Amino acid sequence: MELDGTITFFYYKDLARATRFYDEVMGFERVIDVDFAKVFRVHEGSHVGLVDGNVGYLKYMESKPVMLSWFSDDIEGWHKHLKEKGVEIEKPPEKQGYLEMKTMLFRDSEGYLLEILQWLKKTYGSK
Amino acid sequence: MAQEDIWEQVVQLLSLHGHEKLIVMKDIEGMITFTYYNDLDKAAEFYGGTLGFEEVMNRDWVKIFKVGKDSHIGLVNADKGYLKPQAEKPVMLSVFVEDVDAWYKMLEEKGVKTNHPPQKGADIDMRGFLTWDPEGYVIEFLTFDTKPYGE
Repeated sequence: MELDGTITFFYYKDLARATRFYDEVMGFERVIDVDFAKVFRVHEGSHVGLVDGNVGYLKYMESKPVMLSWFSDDIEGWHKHLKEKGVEIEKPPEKQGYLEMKTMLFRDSEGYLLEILQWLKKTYGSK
Repeated sequence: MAQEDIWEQVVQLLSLHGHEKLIVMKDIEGMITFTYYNDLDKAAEFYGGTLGFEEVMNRDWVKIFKVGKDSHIGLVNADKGYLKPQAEKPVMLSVFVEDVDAWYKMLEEKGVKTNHPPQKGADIDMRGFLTWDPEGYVIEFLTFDTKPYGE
């Protein structure tokens, strides 16, 4: 029962605007591009997918009880990069008390919550 | 020259040539999709027990499961989470598997609700089916018959 990877799909009112965010701000590689959906590769088997929430299986909605968190070794570099791109930072990088890590929160073009997380001490394995 | 100085020069050089994307891509190492629950124990039983995902972190308010090499799903309870559970959930977790038919059979045998047996996608050469976790997040299992990119 092998697991190879994932796509986390989000649903947008304005797909073109969301696509620009993941292209230009996040700089992810766009690996699938069809009219109503775009899939970006984040790293190896991890992907994020953007779907036209006017026509997709799910629709865009106001409430979004989901957070996408990416591990990085350079949270400060990401903070600088996002500020330069004009992204509003919801919580700047800070150390969390409950685990050996620093986290930063921001939102994409329609308010999905995104996190960059840097382990100060890895919690398990090498990745 | 210190390693940081060399890296700084590489970054500058790439920027000059419009390759900022390479710089940004370089350092992301993995991903967690966090979802939010009224009944965390029940959700954890589904992902760890029913689906059999490997649990890699377990705190009273957050449980993280590994899904493939560098992807994870994180389950968070309603009290401590930064976000709260909501009825509307505009998110789908798609999981690539080697053998979608085996996954469908296993879930059927466990009595888990699915939408239909694995079916071919309209736009991409894949077969998949949907299921739902205990609080209604949609999960898709799929196998690519032709890999859409890469190997």
